[in-house]
Amino acid sequence: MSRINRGRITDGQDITASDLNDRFDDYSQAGALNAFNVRDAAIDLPQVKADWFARDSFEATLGEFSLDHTSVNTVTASSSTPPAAGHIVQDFGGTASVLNFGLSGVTIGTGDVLRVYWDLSVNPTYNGTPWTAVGALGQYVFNNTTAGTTTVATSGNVWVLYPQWDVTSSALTNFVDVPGQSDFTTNYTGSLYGNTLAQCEATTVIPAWVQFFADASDGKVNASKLYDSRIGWRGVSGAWHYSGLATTVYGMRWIIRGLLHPDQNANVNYLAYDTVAGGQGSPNPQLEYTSGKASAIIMRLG
Amino acid sequence: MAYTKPNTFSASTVLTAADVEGNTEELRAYLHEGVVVGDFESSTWIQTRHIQPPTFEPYSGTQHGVSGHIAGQSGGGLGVRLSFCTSYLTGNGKANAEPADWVAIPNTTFSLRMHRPYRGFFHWWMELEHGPDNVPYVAGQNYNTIDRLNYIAPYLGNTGFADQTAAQEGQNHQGPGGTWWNTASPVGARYPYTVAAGYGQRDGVMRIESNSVGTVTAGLCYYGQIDRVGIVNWGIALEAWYI
Repeated sequence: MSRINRGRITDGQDITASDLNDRFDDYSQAGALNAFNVRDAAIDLPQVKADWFARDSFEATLGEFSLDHTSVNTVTASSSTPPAAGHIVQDFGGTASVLNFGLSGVTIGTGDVLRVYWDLSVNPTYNGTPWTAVGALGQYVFNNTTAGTTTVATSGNVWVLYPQWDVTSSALTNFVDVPGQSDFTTNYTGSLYGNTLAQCEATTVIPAWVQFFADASDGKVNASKLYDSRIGWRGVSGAWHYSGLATTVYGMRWIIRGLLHPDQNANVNYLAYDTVAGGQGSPNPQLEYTSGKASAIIMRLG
Repeated sequence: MAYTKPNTFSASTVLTAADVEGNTEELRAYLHEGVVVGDFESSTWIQTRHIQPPTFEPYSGTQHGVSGHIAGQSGGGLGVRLSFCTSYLTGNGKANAEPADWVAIPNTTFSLRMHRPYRGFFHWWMELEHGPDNVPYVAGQNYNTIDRLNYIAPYLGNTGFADQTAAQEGQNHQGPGGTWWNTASPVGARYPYTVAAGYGQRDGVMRIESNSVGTVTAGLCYYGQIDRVGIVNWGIALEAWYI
């Protein structure tokens, strides 16, 4: 049985008797109702076609697993302006962790969506009270209960983790920030560098420290009851998706940067480098990490 | 019987609307009620996935259709089902203790019948309270109180396939130097869990993909070194698309 795939009669076209006969006789063939004529051409439900909804999926390990954290990777906060280059998430041997889409890459068509998820086990550390340094973005001054003032942490300092992709070749040597994400190196005023919030669409934020106090009185801090506490080991996660112009993606990797802190300038909100806090303590604030997972799926939108 | 057009057209004769319409009407009638077995191609091409009705399992929160499975469950809100992880089931997490294995977390598993090869994701999140656990340290049997961890990991199949690289840990309730908890009445954590590393949410996504047809199980398990970790709220969801 052949496909019934006869083109329609168009305006201005001559019609012969055989044209009409053939059109009806198509349905007189034995076994005419095959997969194409009934399922694909007549019904054509997208969900009955192979690889329609979920065309492909990928996963990769980020970093390297180490039970009890007997081994860790360490990222040190940047204290320079402009900020130092970001840290590429890698295993203990220094090999970058890449979510590899293969030699041919994977094409995200105009009707497709690339969904990406990631997580990572992290542990922020610090020494002293980096937030009390002059010029640190993460400080706030309260009146205290002994008629003085006390500098406290906003607890808003964070590390960031975000993805890059390579849309050039399978050589994976041209990673750039994914759409909606920038690298926090825009010098938006003075010596401050950062991203607007609109440039943080793929950003995972990791709290750097937390400080709290007890026995506040009349809105004043009891400076003798001021405590800072470790964030501790934890898992952090993120998600991002791409849908738009057709693009072939060959791979993705993840970048860690820090320390950062929220800021505002000319009525625009930023997540900015706090290089002052980043330069405090010995060693400077650090982010330890072990392993996590990156997963991606390519799906059709309809 | 197979379709036979009632009117045959000949060259140099008048083409009437009635003839054309008659053939079309006959074709309409045939496609509605005249198809017989012999008209179908002999090889099998209609598959189960084309004709199976969608089903919904309210207890497991699972919907199954021609495209695959979508499922979701949660243990929060009015129907909070507080659950626990405990080091007492994992030998304090020490390698030389038995059992020292990953243990399934109740209610956080889907078992689905896959009719086709599939790919998709298992999503999960949990709200956890870790410790405090000040059970005295004994060398070789447990960890120092400050080092006790609890890992949550997704698995596919059974807990022997826990994805350790995707495990997310939490630490025993911590606090400012040496003042973590009261040792006199009222005994307990001195500082709020929310600022002492003991409280927080963990979440993740596990890719699932297989060319096998059959029952697949995806869920959560833990590996604990803390005597008690409260699972306050949790949610799991699964999407598996036939390929």
